[in-house]
Amino acid sequence: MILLVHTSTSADNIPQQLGRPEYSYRFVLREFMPLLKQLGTVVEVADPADEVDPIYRDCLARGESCLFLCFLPPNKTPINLDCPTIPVFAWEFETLPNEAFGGKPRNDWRRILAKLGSAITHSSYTVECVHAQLGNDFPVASIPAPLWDRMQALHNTPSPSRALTVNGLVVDSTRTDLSAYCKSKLLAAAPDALPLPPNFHEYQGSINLDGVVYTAVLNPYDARKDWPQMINAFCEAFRNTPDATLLIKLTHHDPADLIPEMLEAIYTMGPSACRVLLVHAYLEETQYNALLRNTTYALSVSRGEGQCLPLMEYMSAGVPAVACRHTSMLDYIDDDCAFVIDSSLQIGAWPHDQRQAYRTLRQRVHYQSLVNAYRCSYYVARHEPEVYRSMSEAAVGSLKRYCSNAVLLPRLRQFLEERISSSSTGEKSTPSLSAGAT
Amino acid sequence: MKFLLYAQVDRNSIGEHLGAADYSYFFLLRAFAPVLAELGEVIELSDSQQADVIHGQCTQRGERCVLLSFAPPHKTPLGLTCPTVPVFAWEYPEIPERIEEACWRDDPRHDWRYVFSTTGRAICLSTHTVEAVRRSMGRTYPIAAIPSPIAPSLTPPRTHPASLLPEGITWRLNAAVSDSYRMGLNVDAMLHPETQDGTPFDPSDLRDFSEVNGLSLEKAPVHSLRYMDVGGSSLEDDPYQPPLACDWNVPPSMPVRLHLHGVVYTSVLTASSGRKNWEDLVTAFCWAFRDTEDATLILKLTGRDLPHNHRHLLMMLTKHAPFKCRVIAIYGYVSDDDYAALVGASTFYVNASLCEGQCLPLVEFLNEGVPAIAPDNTAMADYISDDIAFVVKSYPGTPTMWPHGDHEINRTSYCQLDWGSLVEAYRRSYSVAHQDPGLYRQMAHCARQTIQDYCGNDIVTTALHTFLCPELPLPMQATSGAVVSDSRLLAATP
Repeated sequence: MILLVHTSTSADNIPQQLGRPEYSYRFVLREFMPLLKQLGTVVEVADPADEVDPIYRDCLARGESCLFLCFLPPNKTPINLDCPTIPVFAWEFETLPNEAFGGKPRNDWRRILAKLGSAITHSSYTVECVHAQLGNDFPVASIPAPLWDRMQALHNTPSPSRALTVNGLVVDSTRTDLSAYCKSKLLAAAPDALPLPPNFHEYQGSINLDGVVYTAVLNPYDARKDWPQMINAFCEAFRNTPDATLLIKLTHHDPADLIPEMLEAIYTMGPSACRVLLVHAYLEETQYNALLRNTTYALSVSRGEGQCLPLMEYMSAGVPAVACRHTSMLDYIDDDCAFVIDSSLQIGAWPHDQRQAYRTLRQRVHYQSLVNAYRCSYYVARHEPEVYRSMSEAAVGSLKRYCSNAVLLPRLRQFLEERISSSSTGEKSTPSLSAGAT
Repeated sequence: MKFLLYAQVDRNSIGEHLGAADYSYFFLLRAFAPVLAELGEVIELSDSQQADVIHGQCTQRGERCVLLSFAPPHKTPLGLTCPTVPVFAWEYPEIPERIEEACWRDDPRHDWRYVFSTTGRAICLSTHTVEAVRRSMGRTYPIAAIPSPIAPSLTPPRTHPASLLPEGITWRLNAAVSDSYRMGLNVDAMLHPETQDGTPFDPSDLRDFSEVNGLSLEKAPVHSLRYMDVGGSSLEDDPYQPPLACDWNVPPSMPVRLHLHGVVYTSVLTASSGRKNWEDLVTAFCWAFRDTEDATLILKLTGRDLPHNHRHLLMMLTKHAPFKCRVIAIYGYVSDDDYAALVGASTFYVNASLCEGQCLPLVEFLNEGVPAIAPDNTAMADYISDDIAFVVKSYPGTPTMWPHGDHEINRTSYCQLDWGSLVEAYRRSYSVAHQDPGLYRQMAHCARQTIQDYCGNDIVTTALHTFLCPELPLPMQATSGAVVSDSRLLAATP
């Protein structure tokens, strides 16, 4: 079997791609590669329009089966290829885009999916979202990024040094004059951003990660990640706790405009003894792993997740979480492996809809519940090592059930075989849409 | 006994202060005045210094005299010989007890403990605020929760919402009115023509996707642009005409005719006050009723940013379009009669506030037998319950800034509203209005009773007597229904 794969972000020069549209699909594809290679010969194509169908026709002639897995949002997935095309996409909102906005029929994902006939996404939540729009018979599989096995190398290895080597930008709230980033100064400088703290480069080299460390890996320009609430609640929970550290690893190629606002979010909470570290650096694997191993809790306060790779990585390696239990995280977050933050519904827009029309719901994270989760998790880390250890093991187990090879390989194999058989019988498996879908 | 009443804004200057900071203290003073008149002689002062002159005369006569200062504690006149009692509204769980904001440095009264220690007692409007003060001043500090009084409603109890009558109701008023039926809302107008969203487009898409499995590509019907039925049947010689087609400017004030039918939700608020949380109020309404033609939200907006509020409302509604429900905004002041008609037309009052010192409009509407949708946080905990309202969930402890400080550092907190619970409250209330008239009647009846038990004139008179002059005989409670002008006076409250 030939498995053609494609995503829009090149594998080269990843640091410069961070935060650009669809960059995270590159990471998802990277995680899928080992699994796909167990099922067939994987060929990555750079230009699907030119490359996919010639290979497909060649396969047909040889009698070899061939599928095209396109790691992109459905509206950017090629739809007119002869080769059976399976969109592999992430989605984290209740309502799948079901409107041809901007005058573009392809923005209505129902049309794309109905035409392509099947899809792969990363959670049972998103499977339900797809079924709600396309009917329960629509063939869509939940295959999260199969990264659990890769992370086992880190689980239960001896603790590394508490010093993390970083080549990049580090801002330490405890060594920064936060009043330089008060609201009035931010407004006075607008539309320009305030300059970064003059001393940020002094901390290049090594960060001390003693104490209880909460790590969030996020793109600060992605509003879903809600760093203002993450920072505010952290400062409130740990106002008098100097050994609590919030480390936010910024996955964006140029976060300089937002760092002053993040510092303002700290300043706005008044004096606080805890430490917030903003790290903008591409971490090589050993550094990334060292950060993980020094992390007490993986942190997410996101309003919606399609799967959340960093959280999955950390938890697979035995780092318990502070996170909500909603959207795709329903599949792996529970009280055994995480301090669960309460949330409830609020109005939202599809992130790629430039009208920002209110068409879906998202989650509103409950602030005091987050404060409480910080405090409880700190207490457990400091005073209840047995509980911490059992949460760590529960995290490994939960993610094993969610995204290990052993679970996902048979699921993916069966799904792909069904696609091949349905394409060879010439049937486009496009069941009728559910009643009520408009 | 003499009660000297002072608010910085008085009847002569209220016109220029509407919507400004502390303007509502004028209305608070006007509400308390007739009730205090039952206990003694009331004199409204235009200058707090007059208090000492009158106090001196009273002392000579052996008559007691107290100054009630209707103002935030940091604006309480101190240093008078006349005993002074601050009467104030507050909606946060703590009080300012340090001079922690730069703009407070010149006035020690910004440490409210200093004010309360000096006056020795105070009156606030809610038990929530009593708790806040006692947390700073000690459990025994003499402070009473005495809400703004309200006379019993003179209108007969409502058996069902007027707007649910088969023919609906036609409301004529003189005001600046915008109407979502006349806004021409088009969400695609949010796109700049040159915007690139990265989604490919091929002309063949229109053909290939014109119909996939019964999915027609035609747009959803646009219900937001139409003229029919906006003001009821056509009456060409009626000086009251349907609202004008709406643009980005606040419409002019003019005679307007609105035909209302179905379930009418009303909220009276200063939209620019973030704690009023009108975004949740509007978005939850539009979401709950996007496919419901006979649901109307009337927003009576006051404040100094009406042009901004209007544009913000247009943006919010545009992002929801197309929707079938209707949103009407009334900007600025309306007459007492128009206000009374608004109360009469309302099926439910809606409040989505993150904190309240009392919320006079909510109290007024409940008093007239209009059940509510509201959270039971802060001062609303004193009167909101399932008996009279669809209670919206809210969660305390979200950081916010002092409303009168530097606006740089979070030093207090308010609530987070559960938006989903608000949507649910809209849906349940709609269903009760349509399908359970018995329950509606019961809630309406209970609302009138609850408000009278909470802040009826008699209750407030007794509370004021107990707190201010327990040694004097309590006058006969002959006041019920006697203070007729009161409801009118309150009706003017924005």
